Amino acid sequence: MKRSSPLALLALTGLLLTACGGSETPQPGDTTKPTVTLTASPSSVQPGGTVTLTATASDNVGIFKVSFYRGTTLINEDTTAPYTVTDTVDGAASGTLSYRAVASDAAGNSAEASATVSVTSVPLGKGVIQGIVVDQNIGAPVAGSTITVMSGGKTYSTVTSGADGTFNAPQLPAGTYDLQARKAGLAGFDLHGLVVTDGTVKVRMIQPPAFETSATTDGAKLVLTRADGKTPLADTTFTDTVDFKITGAADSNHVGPVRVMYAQLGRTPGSGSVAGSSLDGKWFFTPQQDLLTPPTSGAVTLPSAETPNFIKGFGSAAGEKLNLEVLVVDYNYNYSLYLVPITLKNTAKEAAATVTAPKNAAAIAYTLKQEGSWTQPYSLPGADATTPIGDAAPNGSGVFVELRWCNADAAPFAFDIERSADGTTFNKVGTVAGGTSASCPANQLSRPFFYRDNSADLSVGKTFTYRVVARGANTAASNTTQTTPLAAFTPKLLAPGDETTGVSLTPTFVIGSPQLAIGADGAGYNLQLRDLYNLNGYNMPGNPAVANTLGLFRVEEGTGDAGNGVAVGQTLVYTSGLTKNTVYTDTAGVLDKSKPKRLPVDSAAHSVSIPLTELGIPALQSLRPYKWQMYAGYAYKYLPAEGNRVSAYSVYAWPSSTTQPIPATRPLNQNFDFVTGQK
Amino acid sequence: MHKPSRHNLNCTLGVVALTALLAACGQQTPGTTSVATTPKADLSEHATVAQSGKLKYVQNELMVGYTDDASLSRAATTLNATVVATIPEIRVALLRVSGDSLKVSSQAFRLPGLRYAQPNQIVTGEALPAVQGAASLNAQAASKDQIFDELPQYALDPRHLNAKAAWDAGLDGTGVVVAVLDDPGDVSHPDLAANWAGKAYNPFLNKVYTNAAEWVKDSASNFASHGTFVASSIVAVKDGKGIVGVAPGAKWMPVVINPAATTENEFYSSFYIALGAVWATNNGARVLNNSWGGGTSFGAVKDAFDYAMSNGTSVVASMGNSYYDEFQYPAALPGVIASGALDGSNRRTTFSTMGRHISSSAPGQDTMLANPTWLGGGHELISGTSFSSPYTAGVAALVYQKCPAATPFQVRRVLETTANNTIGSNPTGFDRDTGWGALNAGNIAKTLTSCDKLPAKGANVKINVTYADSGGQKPGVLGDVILRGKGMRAGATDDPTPLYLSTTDAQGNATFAEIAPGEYDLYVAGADLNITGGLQDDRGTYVGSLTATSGSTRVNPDMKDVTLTAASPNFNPVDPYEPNDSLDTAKAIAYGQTTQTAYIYGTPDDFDVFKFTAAAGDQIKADVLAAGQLGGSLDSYLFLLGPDGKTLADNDDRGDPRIDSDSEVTFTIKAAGTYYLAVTSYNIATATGDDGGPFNKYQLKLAKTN
Repeated sequence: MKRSSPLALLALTGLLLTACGGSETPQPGDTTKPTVTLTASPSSVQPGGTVTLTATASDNVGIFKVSFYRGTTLINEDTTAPYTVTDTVDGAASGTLSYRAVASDAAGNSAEASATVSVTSVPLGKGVIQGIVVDQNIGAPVAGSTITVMSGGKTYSTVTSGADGTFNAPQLPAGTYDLQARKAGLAGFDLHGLVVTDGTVKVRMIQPPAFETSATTDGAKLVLTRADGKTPLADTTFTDTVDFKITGAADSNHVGPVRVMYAQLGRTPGSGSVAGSSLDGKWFFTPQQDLLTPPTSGAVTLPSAETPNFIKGFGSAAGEKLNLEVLVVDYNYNYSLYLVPITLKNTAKEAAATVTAPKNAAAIAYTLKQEGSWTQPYSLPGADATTPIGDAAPNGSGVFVELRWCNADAAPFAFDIERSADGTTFNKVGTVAGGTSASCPANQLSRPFFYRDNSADLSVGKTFTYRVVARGANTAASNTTQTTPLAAFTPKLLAPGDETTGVSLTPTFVIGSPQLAIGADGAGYNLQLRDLYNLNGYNMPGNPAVANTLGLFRVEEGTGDAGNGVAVGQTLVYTSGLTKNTVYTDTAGVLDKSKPKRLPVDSAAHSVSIPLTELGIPALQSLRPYKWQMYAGYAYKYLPAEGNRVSAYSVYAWPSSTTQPIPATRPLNQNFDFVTGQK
Repeated sequence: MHKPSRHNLNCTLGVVALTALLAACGQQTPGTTSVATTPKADLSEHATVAQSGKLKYVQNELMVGYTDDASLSRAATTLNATVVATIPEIRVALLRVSGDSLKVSSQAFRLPGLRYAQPNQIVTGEALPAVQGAASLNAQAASKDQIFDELPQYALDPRHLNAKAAWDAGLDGTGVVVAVLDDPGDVSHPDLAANWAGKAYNPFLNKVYTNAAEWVKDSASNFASHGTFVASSIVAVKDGKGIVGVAPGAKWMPVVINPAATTENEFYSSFYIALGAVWATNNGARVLNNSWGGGTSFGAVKDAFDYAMSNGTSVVASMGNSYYDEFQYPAALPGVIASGALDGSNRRTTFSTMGRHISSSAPGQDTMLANPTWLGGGHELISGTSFSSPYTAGVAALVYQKCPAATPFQVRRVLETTANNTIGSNPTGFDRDTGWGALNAGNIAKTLTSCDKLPAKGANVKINVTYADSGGQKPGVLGDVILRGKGMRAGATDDPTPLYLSTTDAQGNATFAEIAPGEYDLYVAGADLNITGGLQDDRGTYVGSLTATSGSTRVNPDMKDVTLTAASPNFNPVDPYEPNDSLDTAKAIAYGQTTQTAYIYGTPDDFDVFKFTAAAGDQIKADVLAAGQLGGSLDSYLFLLGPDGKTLADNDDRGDPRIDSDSEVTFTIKAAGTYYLAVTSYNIATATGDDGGPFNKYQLKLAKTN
């Protein structure tokens, strides 16, 4: 709390006035007490844990020091703001601890505030929950979310996520835990059924902005049974089919209607755009919205005609223990995730197949600049599986990696996706159904099998190595492939500026292209020029001439042999995606020995000038309104070690998820109107 | 490297309205009733839909604005057309012509007394926001203040439209009729039936329905749900069941502009949209809701909306679902109240279009609204500026209930001045994201305690444009006029200073209905060179000022006459070589000669023939300079004929690869004699339709290259 008393303000004003009068009299006797408040975190602590005390103090003249006490024992003193100390709780402590902060000024006036912390006498263990809170399925980290770790009605730990969204809840005895994440303004996330044993278990919690910030943040409480509605689902052994029924509990306190129910084996389900794969196995359900009775999925038996891949790649003939993940999103975007342990026997014949190594694996990172879509944190696979309307980061960016590969030999039982942070130690990050396809195009984006990794630890600037392991009677690993996610990319329209008048009939369009600032090797743009009276106009640089591509200006400022192959300080501007492409600028003569400079690049400002006349577009009409907009814009990075393929994209604006190379629509747009001059 | 040729550039022909339902449609729930296929009032049964570029239009229908009945019948006679229907209130007629209306339209321009002539455009769809999720409702945790009938409605609660406060003060829309221009709304829905005004209109059939069962029988479709969702946001009945609209005392009149018989977006053409708007105005509607948009709406739709506003009827439209900062129509027309969409926390939704023309915002995401009985009935969640718009229309109805004499601009200002302006990118006022803020009906009830408190009236402006050239003074047809508020801060997203666009009609008039009073920069420019193919110098320009005064009206507008020194488009050019339509009447052309400007125009299937004498071994090159090199509208076609009249060579588009739509023939003459060059249009040459516009100009150039 930062509250200064009116009295203190008055006194301060008086002092200043006196000073203005020029008299240098000593300060009159200060009799005003400081004000102080105290917070202690966490509010409950394990014996042996630490408590952080933070005091907020102010005074009309100045705080001399703040002294912190446990009971009557002085812990420490602090003379500079922020006033804070930590206290280590005695291993034998119990009950309630009383803390005090005493703030005093130089004249000896003092004030105190107090706070209490309860010592929880839960047993200690060797289990650790390591988690991260993100605001979407590929989202930015959420700092300052309060995570409560509970089991059997007891609260074991209350921790707060750090600036990077991570949290750590140690010393947990083995058991099954429920976690809740809460933060003002965001929807709640409830995780049920997390099994903790000795060692570390990792979780990811998703807290999108609440649909309505005044609504409850409780996720749906569910009753999970087999399809008969009676037999408990947990610990069931299934053979080749899985059946269940999801029903809202009578005392569930979520916000109706429930938007969607998902279920998936071995993975937390989400929208296909960022969590998709070939032969995606996720089940989802969208029941009627205007019933006043608790939500229910009805009886579900999978695989089904609509969800044929549900068990593919999971289970084994002998039975494998795994989690059925059930995720329910309510009207307020509160998430409720249940991890249900089951045993799955899968008798698919592919388990006996002799498999060979998958080929041509290629990992491509996508960084999505996103202001839009955060009020719709998910999308339904059936609606538009490829458009990340949801699961996209708000007001920041999100990263996912698409791994693509080929397999022309016998279909394995499963493809396991493995990732390494150091290039040598690989961990499995996901499993998808096996498959075979004769097709293996040179275009990495068209290869038949894919997996989209939306893990929270895919951070910008770190290099990740992937491989695919085919699993049947034997296992065989593909080539390794690397990608390094780029930071968010923000190109800008510069001139003519928005709503300017008197613009030349043959304007030179200028855009800022800051790809070097994020370590990218180039950027691609499509601009649109339209007459506001009839919407006639031109795409710059023109029509896509090949299906599923878009005509782009490609701007490459030299990053040398380790990058785009253009010498540092030189620039290259050319078109791609057109039937007939043009090299407009090539100061080094890489593609055009005449070294044209028709679309000049300012290497200091990192801007590109595009004179209308250079594009062969006739002059605009006088005194007429037009608009120009960035229809597409992204930066990309080459990977010389893998044949100069593009290994990362950072997307600002992209019109269609079905147009390569970006499998995501970004409705972001800069759109400038202008009026031409009289001549 | 050479300059790219023009065909590499994406020149979109966007004359048209790409219109769409501005909604994310609720998905169909499994097991919904299937509707038996019954014949529908679908355009395709009556007419052939043609397409040119992105322009979709009814091939044999031409929409004209006329000045008096005599000029209309004269035009019909001249064009050998029949008058299908007229909207006398705005003097617009639909003509059925024998040829392709796109071609005839250019011809019709030269007829006296026609204000404009356009192909009858078909409006088609654009992308909708993604469908939202669904599941059963469990209302345990819904706030009590969100339950009005049965189902939770955040849109009406005290943190959003604050409807109950208005109802408690007696403002529920009683006595006001709202027309919904949309796909057919379900007047039989239990949550709507009691608030149906008793009339529904299909402008295409020119049929007024007064019987609900008959309407449902003719309208039910698996693709028509949007109009029902929209209507329910305004007038759903307050009866303790289902939901309630924001103006449950108002009555609702459906006007079909999109039959949605075989697909979601199959809008009637602009003429019928205009006819529907005029009908609704004449039948007592005080608010016209338009949850559709795309393309431009100059011409008949603007005329109809101007007519509505001059009769005191407000026109409300959805901003669009593009998320872009852009003008969409009809939202951007002068005087229209454009509405953006908000989510549950009063944030601009991630689909809501933004722009300087936005008025205000209302809930538009995941709103619980009525689903037509022919699709299973009940209620569903649905999103789009399609739903913020009718909430806005409903709030406007509350203002009309209180002050029936309010003008559309006053209604707009009441909404804007009582809105919660703390939302959006400017927390203290207007911003392009959310306009003047989130509408608050309760605040209107509290503020508008008497009609003395209505804000100042708007202004109505009429600019008359005349072209003065060597031929004297002529009406400023095909011109464009911009009003740009003085003091506009370019690019400032918190600046509400308005910008209005209008085209001129055949009298050279551009009108601006119910706009903000104040000082404007006035930009006037002559005929659109895209249409006339004229030279830059032909387009005269004028920059001046205009004062729009509060209280001016359509009858007594703020007027300004502007005379441009500009070429008047020649709608009746003289071809110096005609008659030259046969080998017998061919005109001579010599090597090294370029003809004067000539026209493929004036006679049906015009072929212009030129002859030259050639010696054996002459290598000749003949060029037609048409749209590609001269401008104008001619996509040329060139034939070289031998002395026997047989074709030796022909060309549609010059260059390999193609350069443009002009034509070029090169040929080596084998035997001496008289040879012929015949110039025509691509359409005539390929028998894909007649082609005879007054801007079909060309020059023919002949050279011997050896």
